[in-house]
Amino acid sequence: MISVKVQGIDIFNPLDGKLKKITDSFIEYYGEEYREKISEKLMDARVLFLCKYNGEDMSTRIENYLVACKSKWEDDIFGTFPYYTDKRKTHLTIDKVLELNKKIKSKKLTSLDYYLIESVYETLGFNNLIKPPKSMDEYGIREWFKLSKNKNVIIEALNRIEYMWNSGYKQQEAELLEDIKNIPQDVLKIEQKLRKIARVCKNKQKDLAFDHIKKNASRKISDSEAMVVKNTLYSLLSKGKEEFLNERTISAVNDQYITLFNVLGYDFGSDIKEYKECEELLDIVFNKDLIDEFNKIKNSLTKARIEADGYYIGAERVLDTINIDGDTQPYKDVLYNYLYNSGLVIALATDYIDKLCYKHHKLVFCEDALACDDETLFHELNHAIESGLLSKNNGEYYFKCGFIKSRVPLGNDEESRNEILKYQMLNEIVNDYFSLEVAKVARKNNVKICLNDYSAPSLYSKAFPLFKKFIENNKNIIVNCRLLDEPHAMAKLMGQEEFDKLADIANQYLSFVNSNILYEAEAEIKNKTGIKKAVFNSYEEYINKNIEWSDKTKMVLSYYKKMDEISKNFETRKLGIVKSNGKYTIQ
Amino acid sequence: MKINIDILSGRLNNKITADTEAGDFLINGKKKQIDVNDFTNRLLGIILSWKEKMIGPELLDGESYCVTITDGEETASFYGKNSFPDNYDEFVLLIREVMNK
Repeated sequence: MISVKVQGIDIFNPLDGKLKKITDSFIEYYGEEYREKISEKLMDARVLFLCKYNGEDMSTRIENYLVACKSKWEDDIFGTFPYYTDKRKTHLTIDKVLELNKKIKSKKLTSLDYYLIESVYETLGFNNLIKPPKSMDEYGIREWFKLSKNKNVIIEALNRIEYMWNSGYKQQEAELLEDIKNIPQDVLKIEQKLRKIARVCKNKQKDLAFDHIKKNASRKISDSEAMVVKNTLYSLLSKGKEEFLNERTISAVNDQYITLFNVLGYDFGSDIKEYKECEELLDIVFNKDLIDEFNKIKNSLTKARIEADGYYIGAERVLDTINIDGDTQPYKDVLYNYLYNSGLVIALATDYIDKLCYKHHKLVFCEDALACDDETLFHELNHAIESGLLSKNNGEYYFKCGFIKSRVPLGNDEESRNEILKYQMLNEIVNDYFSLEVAKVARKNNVKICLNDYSAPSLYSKAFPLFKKFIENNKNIIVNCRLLDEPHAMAKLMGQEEFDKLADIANQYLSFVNSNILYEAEAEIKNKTGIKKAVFNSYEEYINKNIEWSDKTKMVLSYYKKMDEISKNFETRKLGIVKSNGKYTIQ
Repeated sequence: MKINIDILSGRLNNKITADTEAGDFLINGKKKQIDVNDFTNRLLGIILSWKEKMIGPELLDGESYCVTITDGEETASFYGKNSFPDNYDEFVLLIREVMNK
């Protein structure tokens, strides 16, 4: 297996040696009664950390990670000075500050960056000093430093920064630079091959397009035109004739098409419609032989890429050795789509049964620890602990994941698809809520797995203000239902109708995020109430205030009323719910 | 020209808005110092080959994207779910680049 170490962590096996601590964090949050279940599920989960190579080399990725680390370290160091803010950070980097200190120490005050001196002056809290003059030429700098009060205070601050850097961070930077040098040869070889394949293929396609243009051009093509027309025909061939004829687009795009058409000898002015109606022109652009050859090159890329991609080959080997019961091809398809067709998706999970011991396992495909963040990993691990095998009917397995029952691979049959469409958002909101709480516990316990610290806000977390009260008030019951091997347990306790209402609320509320309604409502509430944070945490306050809300905001706020009704109804039903043998039932 | 990009990747949701006239560039509501014109030109080069709609299979933790470009009264929009244009990797690189800045 490929291994790349960054800060001592193998980015393709970051869970190594940490499973016990992770398990303990889950148990601390969910409770001791679930120890056995959680331990078993996490032990059985197979997490494959993979690199989705997209042209960015491992060395660049580690360098980018170093840049992100340095930014954090700079905040730590400069943050100890009283006037430091993000806004004032622009010109202040640790490298520049160390360089400044070096120059001052060696009395080489030439070519100093005025903005750096100004930033040092302002951000590090020397407002009591004489401000550096705007015309900071060499003479001006010397004169300014001649004022001993300035000089001593600044030198003291710069020395303090240098001391903090040397004692805490310099070593870490050196280690990361060493990590870059130590990237294994097999990784460099994979990258080299993949880079070459992508370049050769794209160039081949573009050269093919350009040869076709030259063959059909009515005049000489200038150098400046060559690049535009080559890219344009390449794009048109990728897009296809039907798409081109039916698309609505902007003039900036149409202008590029028209440049190509003009070169081919067709000039109908600036109206794209005229060109789209010219069959003769379309026959040249979308020439059948040209398209066949274009697609042939594309298909050869797919094949060559799979053969050269050591990450794919390694993961495929794992799939061949983990004793999946049944056909492994659907899993290889999921792997292929994850590596090559999933864009920015960091992780996804599916299920399988080990044919030797007839045991359920969660299978997680996840980006390596440089790209993955702990919150995403905990989200997937939480899916693992709330998943299980339900039954086997006519050779097909049925699984549960939280509130959802489905067949493997997820969503391939009508029944599973309907269940996913109906309950997925509710299922994910609750999963994300619990997993983020577990991630907080892990962080508190100093459990750190992945290197990426930046996690974009999750879509599901946008619904937390709406669902938080319900989840917290009923946490024990919800956890119990999700961890039991019975996907519809919660629906039974709430009543199917009420549970469906809850799922509808989740679907509709999250659709407000996609359509921007939620952001607009938040902005309006902030604007009209002057409240800056946690807008929806105490919605009653906003509803009852004598404020005229827009229809959109009224609609968003109405969902809090709906949630209240569901909560009240469940409170009444809860009177009849009892727990026996570790399971909640209605009496 | 105004650009709106909405990407839902698994549990993550990223929103990018750019305005070439105002020079504004926002990621998830936060202002970023990005050369908006350079970003726009690169994006236009990428989306030139895109289809308006690409729909793949329904997946848990999949990805969908929506890119809308408005220039005066003209609009071009692209939407995809679990199915992507050939040069989507170039788009992902561009987005990662601005997000890491």
